Amino acid sequence: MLREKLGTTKCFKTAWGKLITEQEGYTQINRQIAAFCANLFQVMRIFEPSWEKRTEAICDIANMMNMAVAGSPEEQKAYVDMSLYEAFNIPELCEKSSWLGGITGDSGDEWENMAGRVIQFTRDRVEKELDTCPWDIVGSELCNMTTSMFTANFDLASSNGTENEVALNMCQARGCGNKHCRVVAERRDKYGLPKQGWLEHMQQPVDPIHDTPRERMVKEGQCLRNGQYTQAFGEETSLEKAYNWVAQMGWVWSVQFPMMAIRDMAPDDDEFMRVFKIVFAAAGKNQFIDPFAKEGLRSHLGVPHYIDDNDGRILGSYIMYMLDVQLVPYELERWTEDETWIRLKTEDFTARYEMAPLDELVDAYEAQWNGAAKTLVSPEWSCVIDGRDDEEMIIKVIRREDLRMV
Amino acid sequence: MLFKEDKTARLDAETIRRSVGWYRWTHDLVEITGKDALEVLEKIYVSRIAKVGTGRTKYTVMLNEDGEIIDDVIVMHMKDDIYWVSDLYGPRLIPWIEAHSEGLDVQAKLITYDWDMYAVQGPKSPEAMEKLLDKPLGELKRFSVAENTVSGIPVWVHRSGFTGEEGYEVYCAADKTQDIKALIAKAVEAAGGREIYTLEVYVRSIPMEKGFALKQDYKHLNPFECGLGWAVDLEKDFIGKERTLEIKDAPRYQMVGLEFERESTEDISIWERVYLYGVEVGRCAQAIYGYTVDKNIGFATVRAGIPEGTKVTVGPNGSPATVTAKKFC
Repeated sequence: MLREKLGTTKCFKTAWGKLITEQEGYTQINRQIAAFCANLFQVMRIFEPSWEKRTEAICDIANMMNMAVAGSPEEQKAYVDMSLYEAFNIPELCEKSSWLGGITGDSGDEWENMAGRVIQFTRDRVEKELDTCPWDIVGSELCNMTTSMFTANFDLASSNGTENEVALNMCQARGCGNKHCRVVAERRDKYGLPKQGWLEHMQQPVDPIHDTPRERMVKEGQCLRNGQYTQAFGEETSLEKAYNWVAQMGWVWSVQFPMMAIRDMAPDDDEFMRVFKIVFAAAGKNQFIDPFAKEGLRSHLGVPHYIDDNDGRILGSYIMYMLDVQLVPYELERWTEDETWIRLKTEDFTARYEMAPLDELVDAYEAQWNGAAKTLVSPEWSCVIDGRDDEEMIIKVIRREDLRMV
Repeated sequence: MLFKEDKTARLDAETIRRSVGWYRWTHDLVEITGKDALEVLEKIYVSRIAKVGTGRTKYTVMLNEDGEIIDDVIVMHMKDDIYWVSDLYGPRLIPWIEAHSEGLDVQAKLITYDWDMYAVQGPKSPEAMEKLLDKPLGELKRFSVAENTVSGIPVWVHRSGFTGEEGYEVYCAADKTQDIKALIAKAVEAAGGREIYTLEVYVRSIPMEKGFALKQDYKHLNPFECGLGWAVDLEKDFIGKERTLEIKDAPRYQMVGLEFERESTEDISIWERVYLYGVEVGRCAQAIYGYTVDKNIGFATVRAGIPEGTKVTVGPNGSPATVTAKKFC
């Protein structure tokens, strides 16, 4: 009888045998990418003190990169027809114009566990209200940046070439301290609105917004609540597909796009990398500074009580967990009380989205995990990544003192 | 998402229910021709298409081998051996036809981009159509299609609709659409009506009130589980028949209506979970505000045997609802 009760669900096993479900992994990856983004934005704030200048810079790059899929007008039309209308099965009864870009924005939110709803979806106005967002720790520069990506969606969906017809306002942004994130697109011709610059996307809409009562807000996106996201016309995305999308594209939009602009803000590459590593190292040390953070991790991964606090495998198992969550394949090569070696293909680690490799992931995680070694295990321990320029690299958790803590 | 307070949406709904409204309603259109066209249609649809005479049309559904609805369409018998299928999934229908017409003389072509369609719906639609058309409608029966002209422009007029009201669908060549659109607007206005603006009103709210569902609402259901058993002709063969016979005797699910108690349903997305005493018993296909019934209503697929009047909750915040018939007015 007991065997009949054993169901199956997608999960992976931690190094200590505890099962982590697909839902937990998906929640974790969204938050992990957001945390990485938050660290990166600290680097940006060091190099560029002006909120306006850094916001404009990341908006520019994110919009340009989103539009880059279009190319020539013919390619743009092909993109819109195949990648937008066909992919989302928007029926012929709908007018094909900018407002349908709202569908792309809505799906992107839900695939990344930004929980909310489309309040209004008409040819003149689209209103999207969000109750929660994994990126709520990053800051309003990112919120603005998403409007520039949204603008690209609207531009690509436009029936007037590549210039959209809407005024787009993120009129409430959690990054600004407001509880909600809310985006409203209103047709400029209908509402008599001017075309906007990058810093003009946080105004109030013309028509009043709808405010969902607190008791009817949601805490998780559709993929977690219902195992799928279904858009207005009935097309579905499974949790599995959304997870894979996040594991690739989450890094692209929230890390790679701003990274391109932030590198330009630094005086040179060496100075960028020096500050970049310092910020991620500090983040790593702070991850486990509190004793209860260590206890929580041990419980989450199922670390047995007989494993001593000063055992590097605790960090090793955390790194493996993070690789599993991020869907990065690896092989465990050494697993003793003195060292953990994790071998993986360099490309699997850096190129989550094949077309856009992100070498800085190695620098960032090496600095962060090395910092974490000091507090999660002890200052006797370090984390290094060897062979980053080779086909395969090895993440090593080893006993090594780090006298200068850099 | 529609709200009680939305004045434009309410006016749109009232126009369709009390007067006449028009809106662009172009669906995917697949033309099926060839001497074996009827044979293929009989195979892929559950209804007896042979009974659909020239100039007549029929609502029917397509099943997979598991007996689950994978499409719902209107089959229109335009001329001898020429059928049009009005569908929202035309590009997916063609490969299905091709897969089931080996060795047969059948051609299926997507003609969506050749034809635009406008809906004229509401109790005053006959008056608007009389003003619009060059030739009188005469005794055009429901689910009939006939040729006519509008200011000399050839059109097909289909007496049908998705509103539960008296209504017509006007098909015109795509290159004449702007002319036809203007003429329809004028005729409808002369009959006291107006253009309908809110997509969710004419795609969702108005049809749902009358029990009309979309293909997506029928997910995993057999016709005998969602009130479409009347469309099935068990005397003929069709894809999914074997499983249909089993389900007819022992349905697993049922499609029902839901009436919500709360003023709005912001926490209910498409396919939100439905609970009975905290136990999941189904999914709510969609909830929307119905301006005629002045309530939030929805369609749900729940376990077979749950009677009307049962109190359930929907979604993450336990939104209370009552199980009803799927026709609300």
